[in-house]
Amino acid sequence: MNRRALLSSSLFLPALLLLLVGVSLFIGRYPQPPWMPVRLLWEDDLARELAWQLRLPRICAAVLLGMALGAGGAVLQMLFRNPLVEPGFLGVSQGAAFGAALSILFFKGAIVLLPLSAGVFALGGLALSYTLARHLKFGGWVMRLVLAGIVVSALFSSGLGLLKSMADPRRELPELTFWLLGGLWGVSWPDVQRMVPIVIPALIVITLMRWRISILALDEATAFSLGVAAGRERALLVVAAVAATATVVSVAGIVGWIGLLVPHIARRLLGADARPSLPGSMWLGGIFALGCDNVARSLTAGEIPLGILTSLIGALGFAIILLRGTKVTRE
Amino acid sequence: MKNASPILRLERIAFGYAEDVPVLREISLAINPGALTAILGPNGGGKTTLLHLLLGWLKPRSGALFINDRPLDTFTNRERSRLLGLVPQSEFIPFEFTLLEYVLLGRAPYLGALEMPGHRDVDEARRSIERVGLGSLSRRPVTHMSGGERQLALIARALAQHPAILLLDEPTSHLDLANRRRVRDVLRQLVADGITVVCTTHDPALAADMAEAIILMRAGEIVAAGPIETTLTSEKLSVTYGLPVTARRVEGEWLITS
Repeated sequence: MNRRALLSSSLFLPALLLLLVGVSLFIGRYPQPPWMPVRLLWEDDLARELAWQLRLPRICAAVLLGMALGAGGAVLQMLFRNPLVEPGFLGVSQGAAFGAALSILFFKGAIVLLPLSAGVFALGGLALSYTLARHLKFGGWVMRLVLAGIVVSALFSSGLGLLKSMADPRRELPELTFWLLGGLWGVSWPDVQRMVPIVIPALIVITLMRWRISILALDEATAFSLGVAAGRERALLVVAAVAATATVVSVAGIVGWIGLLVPHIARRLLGADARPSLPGSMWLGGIFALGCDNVARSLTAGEIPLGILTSLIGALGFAIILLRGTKVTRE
Repeated sequence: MKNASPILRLERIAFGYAEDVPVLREISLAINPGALTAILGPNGGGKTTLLHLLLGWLKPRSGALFINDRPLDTFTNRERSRLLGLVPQSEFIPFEFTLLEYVLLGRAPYLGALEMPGHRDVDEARRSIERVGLGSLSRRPVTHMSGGERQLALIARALAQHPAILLLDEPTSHLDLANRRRVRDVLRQLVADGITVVCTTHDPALAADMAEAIILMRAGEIVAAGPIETTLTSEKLSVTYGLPVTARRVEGEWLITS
């Protein structure tokens, strides 16, 4: 690990995120796009209300969303020794959306049940993908994981489709459709309060264990020979990553590609060592999600669903990374 | 060496991945400290399984294993990982760790779950890299290294554990001649430094080239075990491989033909 990577991951990126949070408070369509002058915070009651009650909770939610997906993606990619994994590929996001839909339909979206149901089905989706991948009869481990993830995600999305067809088209259907597009409109402080107690501890666990994650990325027997209780530690990290993902999905719906793209960029910038690249994924995730959400809420008079934007930018970014190939490292 | 008490001892170890398909049948063995012992035999004879049992990664269905006369299953993970290092046959590395970052992982036995390696660990890792002769490559990604360099990198990582016993699985089976020699020389040096080295191989010539003691295995059973002079005979090799093999010593060099 070099000094530059350490500085970037522990100082420069968090500072950049903080700066972006500050700037984002003034980005928007009030009083007119794209800026709100800073002095309005003191002079205009409506502006103040807007900034504190609408923009700031939404900014916090976007940051938490990006950090959870960025760090969660990095953890899952390392644990599954597969740079193509992201929460969505392993049935986690679709599982969470299905769980959320169930709760909306049958428990009227009770505020406590919705994230719980999303979390349970997210974990269930992951467990199912993993089990299925172990039992598939052909292909390498990476191939089998991706295939199993596709199958499980498809199962959940057809289940979700079924629930949609059963939903009341006036009340429940719009709420369900929201999960398929992904977005943060209407997010308020209570939503942020629901995210914090799960996302922050999960991120702390992941950050504290960041060196250990590299060992868990090695072969089972090797990790064992290094004295690591791989099963327990892996389970703890997977639960942390999935719990954080499920929580943000239960608030924001399915926001794709952050968990896949961001860890790649972080490794490209900071190296494979998870000591800098894992926190790096977390900060970059926050920056990416917040940047996208700023565009989503202020580019047009309406709202562009965040999930559509992250997919668009994420897919293009990923293509660019793949086209550029691997970086040749100098001595 | 003969009078030294064994560092590794196996008593009537039996193992099978499935209940009714035995892979190892009641094996008893003693491995002496400070020597290079080769586990030699045809593919599928249970060599890697035996190595994984020695590591404690696989648990025997019956029998007991001892390190310095203490049962292996009474060691904690941490104690064991400071004694036994593993060099797998090959390792799939999906991310571009630099050699130094990769070898540093070998310091895990000395660090808590939430601890980060410090300067001393980095120094230890660098020393391990020097010991295998890769000192100039410490910032190169392991994924960009040749087969021989990767094998040495695996050895360096195990050395960072400061093991008393190093277990290697077919360390040279996919290497060319020059790299074989490189790995062999490193292993000889480690033995000279007092490390007990146990490695599996299917190649009698290789075993003859570096081992002091040999364990001949076939179909989960031990054909013979002991110093190379008594084990590497035409008769015993022929039984092990199931075809006529002749082993001769010509001017101090082993010549093995089949």
